Amino acid sequence: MGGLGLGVLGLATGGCTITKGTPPISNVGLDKKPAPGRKTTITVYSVWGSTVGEGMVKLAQRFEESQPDIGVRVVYAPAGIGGGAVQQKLFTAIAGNNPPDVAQLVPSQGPQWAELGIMTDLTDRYREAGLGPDDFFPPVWDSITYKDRIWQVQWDADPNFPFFWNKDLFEESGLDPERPPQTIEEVDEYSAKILRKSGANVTKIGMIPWDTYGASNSLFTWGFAHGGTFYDPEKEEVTPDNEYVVKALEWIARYAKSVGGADRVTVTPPGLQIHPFGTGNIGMAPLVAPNYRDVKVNVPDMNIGAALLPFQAPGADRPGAGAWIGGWSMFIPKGARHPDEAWEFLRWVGATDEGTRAQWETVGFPPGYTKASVLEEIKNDPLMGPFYDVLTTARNIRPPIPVADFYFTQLDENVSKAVLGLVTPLEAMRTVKENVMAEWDRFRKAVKA
Amino acid sequence: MTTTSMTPPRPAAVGARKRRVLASVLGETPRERRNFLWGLLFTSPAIIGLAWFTAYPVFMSIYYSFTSATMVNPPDFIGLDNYAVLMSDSTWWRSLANTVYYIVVSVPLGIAVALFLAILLNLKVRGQSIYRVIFYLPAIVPVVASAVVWLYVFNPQYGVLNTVLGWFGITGPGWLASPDWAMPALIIFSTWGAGNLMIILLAGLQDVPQDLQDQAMVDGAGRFRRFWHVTIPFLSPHLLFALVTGLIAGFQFFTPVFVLTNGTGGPAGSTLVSGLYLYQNAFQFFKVGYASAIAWVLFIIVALATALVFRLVGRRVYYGGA
Repeated sequence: MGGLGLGVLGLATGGCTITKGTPPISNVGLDKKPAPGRKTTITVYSVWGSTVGEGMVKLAQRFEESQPDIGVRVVYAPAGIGGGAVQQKLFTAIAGNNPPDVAQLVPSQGPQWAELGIMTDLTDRYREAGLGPDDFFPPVWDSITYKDRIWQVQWDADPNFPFFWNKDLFEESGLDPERPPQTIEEVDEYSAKILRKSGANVTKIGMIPWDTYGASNSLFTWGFAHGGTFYDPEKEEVTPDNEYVVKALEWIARYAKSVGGADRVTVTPPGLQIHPFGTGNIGMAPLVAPNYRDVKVNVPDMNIGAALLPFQAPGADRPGAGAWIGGWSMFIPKGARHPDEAWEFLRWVGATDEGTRAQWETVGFPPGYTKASVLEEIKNDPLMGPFYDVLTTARNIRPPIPVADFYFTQLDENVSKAVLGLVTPLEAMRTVKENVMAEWDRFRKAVKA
Repeated sequence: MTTTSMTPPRPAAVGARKRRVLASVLGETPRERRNFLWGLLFTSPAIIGLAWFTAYPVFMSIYYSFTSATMVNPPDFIGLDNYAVLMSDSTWWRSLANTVYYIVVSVPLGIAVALFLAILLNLKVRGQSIYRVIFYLPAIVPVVASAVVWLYVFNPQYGVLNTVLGWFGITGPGWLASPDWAMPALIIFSTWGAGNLMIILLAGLQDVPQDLQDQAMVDGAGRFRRFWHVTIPFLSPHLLFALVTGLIAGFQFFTPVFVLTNGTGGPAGSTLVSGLYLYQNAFQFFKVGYASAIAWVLFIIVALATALVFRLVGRRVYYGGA
């Protein structure tokens, strides 16, 4: 995992970034001053560097062009570890009672931030705008609501993940290059044929199921693919010990053991900038769009097939059952100076035809708004096509609970322990449940929820 | 034995004493007093900065440790709850055990390596200054940059470390990917930055009086005996300094593990040290009160450990007969 870590460092978090096409060379910065002569100016925090950060600046410019009254100041406020959970500049601004008008968050953090009282309730604004569940993909609607209120506008619906396979490696291993595995059993079968070792180290592998963008995201993906659930909204309880989640983890641990141990998988040269799938040493991998794009651009000769994720009966009943929607939302921090104008921006970006198109053309993330006409283009885009299929069929989100980040951290640690054979999968998941429930109780007391 | 009742000092005497104290601080003459005030004015940026950005946060963190502070909400006073929870928090104890493991191995190792290098660099050989520069270079490379380089070194398949081990027929471990070897990997990485200590010890070596060495030689002392009975006593204040600062830095160990494990303390929590656990609680889980409690418990542990070192080792330190 350590060897693989570097290449996917920035993306191992699930709040995955998606950009389309080749990154343009431009002199657009990550910050932006508001257009002059506007009645009101709003401040928007942007957490991204690179092309996504530049895209956010261009998106703000497009919003200014679309109307005469509101100017937008974009301030670069980077997120640290935890896939967007740690945003020091934002927290400092909120604690200092000087919040921006618009800030970013990974949707699964919504419940915690709402309980902490730093988000503005948008329910009435949604109602007045005539926006309801039909306007968004179901997982997106699940993400933005908490306790029957709406808190965020999810403008990036990140489809995690289509399933890709290396046709060349399939052929080399005596497999039919046009036939991807449909079930987990077939994944095992294919993997046995692909595996190659050099001494103790694995040099070619069918798949690395414990490294699907970090240990916790791996378990979400393969847990859903087995038909597992990670929390019970009725009982307000996390369920990592769910029968099918444990089965998924048992499968991942068994897989790691079958290749000689997770720490013996060294299919990636150090310093690799593209996803390890691009080395040609991995047969199958779920990928986010920027990784897929990088592989296509940098290894143009590689023949890659795309399908929906394999599944495992009896818990799951269809390919793609493991897919979930991640992404990014915007929200209005409590105490923002211009909530009305901030809402205009949020709505335009995430729930209008014009705004979602502008977002796609500048930042390049798939929207969560079902009525966006740009979805048709995404569907027909040779690169994004597989992601469109996931976006429109995925049913899951990561558990939206007030201690989501603690839950993910616990999973990261304990899934790794099980994969390394230090504890059994069931023990690992029981530990997670016990710790997360204790933390949830503590959090309830702390915020008096 | 007779008892005498305490008589309160006369008001005039109190006034005189106050004036004396004041005069000793502000100065006796108007000129001295003026100088004092000017001095205060010139140092005020530093004093205000220290008070506002260091002293104030330090004292606030004591207060926060008794609250359920979340960083974004007004804190509620909860007494000793954070400390009580900490005592039964298995992750905290594991992080402390990891920290102690790191310190127990890395501090003596770091001192030994730095001393060894300092002795080598003290040899009168041609190109001495070039060697000094080379061995000091790793210490001036930013930790984050060298951590990224070491990711390459530790790569199990392609890394130089396992390649070299392979020459001797040893199958190298998975290093940062293995829960047993990730901490040794971090310790090796830390030892790489021994250059600062090396410079201090090199300066110490140059302070060892040559005439004492010569006398010892005349008396028939061999190389090792001269080192043990002459060099080491003169170096002992430096070694104590190295031990104490190493101990404190060890308890604050954070950056390399943050960079090399992407802030997770992995694999499987094997490198989760107390500093990183504190960071996670404060900034990832919004438990600023709890993180403050961790900070103060760590502070007490560091203070006790330092006191222990002074007690055990301090008396053996030789300050040149002073």
